[in-house]
Amino acid sequence: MIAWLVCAFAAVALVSSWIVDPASAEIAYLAAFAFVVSTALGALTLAMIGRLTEAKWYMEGARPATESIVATIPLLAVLFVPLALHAPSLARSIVYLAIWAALALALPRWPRPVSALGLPVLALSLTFASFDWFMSLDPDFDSSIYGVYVWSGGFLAALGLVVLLRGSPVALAKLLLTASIFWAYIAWAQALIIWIGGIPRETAWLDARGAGPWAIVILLVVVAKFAVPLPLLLPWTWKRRFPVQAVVAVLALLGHALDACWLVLPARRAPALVSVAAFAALASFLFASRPEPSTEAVPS
Amino acid sequence: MLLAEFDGPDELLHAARELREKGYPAETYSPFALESEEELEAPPRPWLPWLVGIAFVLGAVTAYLVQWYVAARDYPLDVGGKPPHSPLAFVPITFEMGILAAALTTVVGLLAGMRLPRLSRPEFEVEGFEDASVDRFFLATHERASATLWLLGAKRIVAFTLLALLVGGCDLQRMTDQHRPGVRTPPARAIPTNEIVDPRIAEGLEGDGFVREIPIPVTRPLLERGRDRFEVFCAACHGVLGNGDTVVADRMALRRPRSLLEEEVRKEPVGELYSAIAHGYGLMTSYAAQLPVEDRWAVVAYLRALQVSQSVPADRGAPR
Repeated sequence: MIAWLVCAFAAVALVSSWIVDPASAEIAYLAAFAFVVSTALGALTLAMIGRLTEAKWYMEGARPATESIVATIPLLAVLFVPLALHAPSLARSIVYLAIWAALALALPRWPRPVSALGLPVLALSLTFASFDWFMSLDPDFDSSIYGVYVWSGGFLAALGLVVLLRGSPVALAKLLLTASIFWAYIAWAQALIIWIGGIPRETAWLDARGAGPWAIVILLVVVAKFAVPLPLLLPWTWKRRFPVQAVVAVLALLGHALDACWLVLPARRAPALVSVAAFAALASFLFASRPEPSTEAVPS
Repeated sequence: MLLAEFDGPDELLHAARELREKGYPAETYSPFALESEEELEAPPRPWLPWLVGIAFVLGAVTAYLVQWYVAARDYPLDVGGKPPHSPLAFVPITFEMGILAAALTTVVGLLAGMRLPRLSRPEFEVEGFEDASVDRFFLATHERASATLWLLGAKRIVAFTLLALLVGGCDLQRMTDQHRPGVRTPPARAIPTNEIVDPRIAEGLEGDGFVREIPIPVTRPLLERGRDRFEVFCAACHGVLGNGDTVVADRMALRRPRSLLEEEVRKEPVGELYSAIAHGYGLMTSYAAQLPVEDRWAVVAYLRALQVSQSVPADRGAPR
């Protein structure tokens, strides 16, 4: 109920800013969309891995929360509507959204085949979608690791969301730590490759994001996604405590939201308030539409 | 200790949990890591992670400083226009050296902490235990838990320390440590060979030189024993009379076994004779293996008697 209220309020703010300054509102909306898409697809990845391995921590622990996030994936198509006009390729965008919706809907029905066949499909479609929607904002820039970067951040945020929704078996905390380290590794590798190559069309992208206020933003992202989670989740006893897990989970989500801004917004300018409204609208919309986590027994 | 076998991982985990709740120790052996066994146990060696952490930091800091010193301070090179001190580029070496130090510390610390490598453990003596790394599930606990073990559904229970003691003599191969059932009562004047520490008896030495008196009581039985041993081990070369007139001696023309009746031998202190038996003399080998300490002195005593008996002047022969 509260989520619906937040959503309605933020949507009104967003729509009014869209009327005043369509370009700003659109880019803010895109950043929020990046956050929501990557997080939802991160949850889909987690669900597929869990269903494929049928691990106890997933089937008897994380499953309801994870799959209630997955169930919102078809709604991404609805959220995409405002972006449809300026999408670089509407046809490809529709294909991506259709693939994800199909995977999300088919997963509960045929868990193992959908997971096994779907994981590579998801990896490729997410990579190309992130190229089309986000990397294309800087037409000269390309990075083959970009899709993995978007995915790894989203996976981390999805784990954080599952931990918050569910409380968690310790396996999730371990995955959270792994995802945090993996994201840091990908982020560092991308930065190193661009920096060491020193090719102007690539460094321009990094320069726009490594100077001024955006340098502070990426620093905060690194702190939230890696520097704080690492020492918190390393000790044997700490990673088993829910408060510690919750702190890391919140940081992961906040960090990923900032990360989405850092990826998208430097390309165009958008007022901070509009961005906040966009994030609030999209995130609360999905959260409100999320079906109640079912705790029913799993048919084996 | 008891070793109990269980049907599968769930039974094993259940039993381990129940036993620990009752305050018994429970060590599990299974072909794969048990998922929640990790949750059951507190970290067994809490010092190791700290050590590994310190090793990581030391390794990483050292690696970073080395890179900084070499690349930025001692011999700065312009590589692609990058600044000599480039933290982004120093990350891989720093990370890898940290991991290297941590990994080595983990391995060495783990081995040290577990007192490995060990070639044997008492559990190994239990039949079928080798399958604990294939498809069987075992649990080691205290003897007093045997009733509980049956209740928990153990398939089989073996007391393995007991077995290990029976079979485990193989670990300790010192003959003196072994229990020998039915040892005969030693003769009254027996000198326990493994306890002689007096150098006069054990080595025939006294101060700087050889002992001049036989350091054990010379009795008739000792002399008879000496005669027996002398004729078995010495007479073949030195002659039954000790005069060196033997077939063996004839064949060793270049260096004959000497006559033990010579003046020179007569004048030798008994300790020197003893030493010749114990350690050998010239071509003669040591007879320590054949003649225990007491027998050596017996032979020496008999030899002295022989020397006397073979050189009595005719006019001093004692009438029988």
